Amino acid sequence: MKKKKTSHEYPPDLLYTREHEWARREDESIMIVGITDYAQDALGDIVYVELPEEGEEVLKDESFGFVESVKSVSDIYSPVSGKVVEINLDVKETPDLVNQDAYADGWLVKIAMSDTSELDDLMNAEQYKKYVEEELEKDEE
Amino acid sequence: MSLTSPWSGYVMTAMKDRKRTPLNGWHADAGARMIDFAGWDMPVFYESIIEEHLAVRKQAGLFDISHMGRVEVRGPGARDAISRLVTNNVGKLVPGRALYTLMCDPAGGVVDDVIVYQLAPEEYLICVNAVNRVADVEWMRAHAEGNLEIVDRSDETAQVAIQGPISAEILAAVLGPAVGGLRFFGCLRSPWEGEPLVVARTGYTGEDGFEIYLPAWRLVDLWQKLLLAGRKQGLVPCGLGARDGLRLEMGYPLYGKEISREIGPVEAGLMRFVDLQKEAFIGKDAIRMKAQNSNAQVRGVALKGAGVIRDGCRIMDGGSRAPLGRVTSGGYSPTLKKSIGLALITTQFQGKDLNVEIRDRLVPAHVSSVPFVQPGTRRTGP
Repeated sequence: MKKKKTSHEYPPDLLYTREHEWARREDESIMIVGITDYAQDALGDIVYVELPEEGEEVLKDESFGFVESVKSVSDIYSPVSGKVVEINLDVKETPDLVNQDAYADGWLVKIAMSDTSELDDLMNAEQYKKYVEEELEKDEE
Repeated sequence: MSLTSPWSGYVMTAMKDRKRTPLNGWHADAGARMIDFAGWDMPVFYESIIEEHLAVRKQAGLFDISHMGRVEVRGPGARDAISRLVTNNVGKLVPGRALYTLMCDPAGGVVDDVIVYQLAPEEYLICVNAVNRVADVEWMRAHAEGNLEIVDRSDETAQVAIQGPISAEILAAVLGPAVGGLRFFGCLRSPWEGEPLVVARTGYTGEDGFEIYLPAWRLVDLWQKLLLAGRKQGLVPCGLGARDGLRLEMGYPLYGKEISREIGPVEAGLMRFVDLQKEAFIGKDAIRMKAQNSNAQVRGVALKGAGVIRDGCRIMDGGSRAPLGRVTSGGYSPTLKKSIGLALITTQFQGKDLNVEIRDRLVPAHVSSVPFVQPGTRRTGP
């Protein structure tokens, strides 16, 4: 079950979206994708994850699945365009993995990129951390 | 992700404009995720909705429910006036007893669902929903006749609920043994450190438990003393997320979802709280008419396939896929580890197999009896 945190993790080797997904380069063409620590913390206990099928084409910034927490449902937007080459069957079985370990065991899909230049649009850890902090400040207003 | 409010269906109030209970700072320090609930800044969870929910089922949970409205009605005309305002038989109450009832409009729609506590021969406390508080007080003043006084005590008072199988033990350790002798839906005045307290064996979770009414300035102290007394045995602070899941497992209605001006006691399946034998009350004639020919009813729905039922999902016949109605409250049951919901479904439907439309997909489900989970309340009362 999830543990609420007072501060969030932003691994430096990942790229991030404004919609709180992360992408990690596995090799030249394949990205591993998940949702960020901040996102899982904000959602609370995750009870269901809907993922695309292997072989499905996904488009950058378009929803490829969704995450159901006890109180809410949220779309997952793809950080890059390409073809889904693998999905994490463990999170289908144990959605809680996303809460436990958003950046490793809680990964969601692997995507074979069709256009690596799309990576230039993503944020690095430092930029994403700043972005989250600004979002949190906006919430306080 | 789109990280919006986890609570749908309400007009959002900006953080700075939200009302706060005396525990607001405590909740923030405890790391609670706060949401806007009916204009109040309230904790939705501290660490985990699932853990908080299960703590109430297994040990005990502590809820700040000071956002609820508390209205005092007193005077020689109080009993008759309340009796005309609500559907249940207030005449059966005696000092030290409470009852759940609806307050209806002349068309049989629900103005609010409330608990009426009789504290003394001519003194009642009515606990109302936060979202309806102002309208309720206006409604009561407009429709109450006779020699009585209606005072909104919500601002100067506060309210906590301690719910779960070991709540009596913990409460007795702080307030004294008298509270353990309370029956289900019993209430008593019990002075605590010189301050008047009302303790009632009521709640919204289906477990044994208590609701405590006290002066607002004493809230933080009582809260901390209860936590200190119960923490070792597993008492945890709980947010509104757990509260909503617990009531959903019991099939209890939430105002604005299962009951409203549009959905009355007949459709909501709450006729056991309507006494059509008692003398005139507002909405009586309309409810009696409706009882003969209602076309929809709130039913329990349990999902067979994967996913989570949400408020507003459409319900179809499991075979013909004909539209049957819509979900009024949906969610995830931590006790059953699957999704459940309440839905307003046409009374024409006699079958069991359903489809719930979740994000453009039909997911198989079936009609379920409510409560979904067996209650632990000690129904020793009348």
